Amino acid sequence: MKIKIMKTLLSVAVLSAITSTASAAPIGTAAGTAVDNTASISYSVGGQNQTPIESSETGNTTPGTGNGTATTFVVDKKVDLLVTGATTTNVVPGQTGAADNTELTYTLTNEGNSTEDFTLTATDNLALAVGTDDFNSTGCTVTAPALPVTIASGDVVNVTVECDIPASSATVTNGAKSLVDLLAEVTGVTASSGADTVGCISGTPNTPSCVTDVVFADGTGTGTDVGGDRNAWHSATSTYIINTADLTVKKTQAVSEMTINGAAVTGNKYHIPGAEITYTITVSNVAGAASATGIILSDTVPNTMTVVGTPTVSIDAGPPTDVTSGSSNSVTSLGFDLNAGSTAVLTIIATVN
Amino acid sequence: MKINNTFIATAKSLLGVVATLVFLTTQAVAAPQGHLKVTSKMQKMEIINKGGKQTYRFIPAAKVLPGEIVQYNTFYENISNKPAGNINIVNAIPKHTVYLPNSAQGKNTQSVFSVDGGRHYGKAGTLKVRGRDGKLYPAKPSDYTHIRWHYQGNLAPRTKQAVAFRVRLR
Repeated sequence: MKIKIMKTLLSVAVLSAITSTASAAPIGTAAGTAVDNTASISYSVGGQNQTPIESSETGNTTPGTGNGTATTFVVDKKVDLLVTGATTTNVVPGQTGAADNTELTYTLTNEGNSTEDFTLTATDNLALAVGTDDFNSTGCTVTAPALPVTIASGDVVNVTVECDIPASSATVTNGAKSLVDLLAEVTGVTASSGADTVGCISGTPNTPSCVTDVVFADGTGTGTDVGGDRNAWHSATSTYIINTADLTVKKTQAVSEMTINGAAVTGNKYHIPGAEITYTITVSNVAGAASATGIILSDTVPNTMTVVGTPTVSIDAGPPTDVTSGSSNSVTSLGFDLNAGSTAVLTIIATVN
Repeated sequence: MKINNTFIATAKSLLGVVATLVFLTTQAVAAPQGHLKVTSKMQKMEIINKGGKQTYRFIPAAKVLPGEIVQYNTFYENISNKPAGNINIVNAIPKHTVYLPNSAQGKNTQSVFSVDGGRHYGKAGTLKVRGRDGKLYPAKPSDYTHIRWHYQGNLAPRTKQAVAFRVRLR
């Protein structure tokens, strides 16, 4: 059964890799398309129908089909792109992009009316107040698609970014966030904020010699492209959230049993020879943290004491499980897992020699 | 050398004149001039904000992007000395564009529309198109394929009239 499940997961992963580009209908009439218009007029003179006359831009008087000339304009190149992010990925301090696939996801849509090449840059040290940015990830790279990426009008490409997560520190704590910006640029055009016409496929911009003008129509992004309206750039951010185990260990002891002259003492108990001391070692994982796996608790009871019976570990007040002890006074638990919000208790009872 | 050069140049220009003459003659024989002169002009219509009010202006259609509006004006002038009657102007909606509702205009004209490539015409709002399910649905302006204007009355000699319509580039 287990093998079967793994197979299914594998095939899903392969599928998602193949369909990273979503083909859609082109947005708008393609750049360079000639749009023709011809009117035709029919009339009569003296009650006699005349051969219809077609229009031309300068005026046509020659009757007959094909003697007119179309009034034509050429559709210009609209450069427009959209990056979306706003996804979150849970990570653990010390994870590296290369080894641990710390993937952040974005999409890039070509909203222009021509096929364009795009470059992508991921930035982790944002000096912009665009959201909570508690710590900086490092070494961010775009792992998919291969750059520059060619995208047809209307198509959407899924983008993956991987960064390295710093080791845990005062700022890299459970719940801390790191914003990572993805900036997309259209290649082959010069970013020029607000310019109405930035180039020409042939001829001089803004003159009749320019057959196909290049016009930037992109909006303002949410990251490094803040305020960058119409500059052939667009950006968005996604977020890493530290989601690690958050363990607290506490050790207490108390005299649990004391006998004097063969009778158990019920009142105040003292650490006198022969008295039984109970050591309670409590490990808790904070609610909302990630599960901790393979926890091993060990404790060495002072050699002036003797361990009684077998120490036990109980998780969330569940049935106690015996633990092995290395030598008589060295207690080591078996590895166990602790979910968020759970508490494990290691109980050792020893007598004072 | 100099004489030689001049000679070549003269020969060239003579050849040009001959070619032009031949061209003009062919034109005149094959297509005599009609009674009307038909001119189709285009302009881009730009919606602008003027003092908080939305208004528009016309600029040369030098730069047109998807979603923008183009207005076509068709001028027809009677260049003969006889009145012309029964005038119908037919204009196919240009490829890659959509007719803008209520934009067809023209003095002394009635406009009708076609949704079947110009075979049948009807007033706006009366046309129907067949949906994928085989049923008939009221036609949308984007279904229009042709506009036809009928000029009411005769166009006197040496007078000029115009019709216009607007489209949005897909």
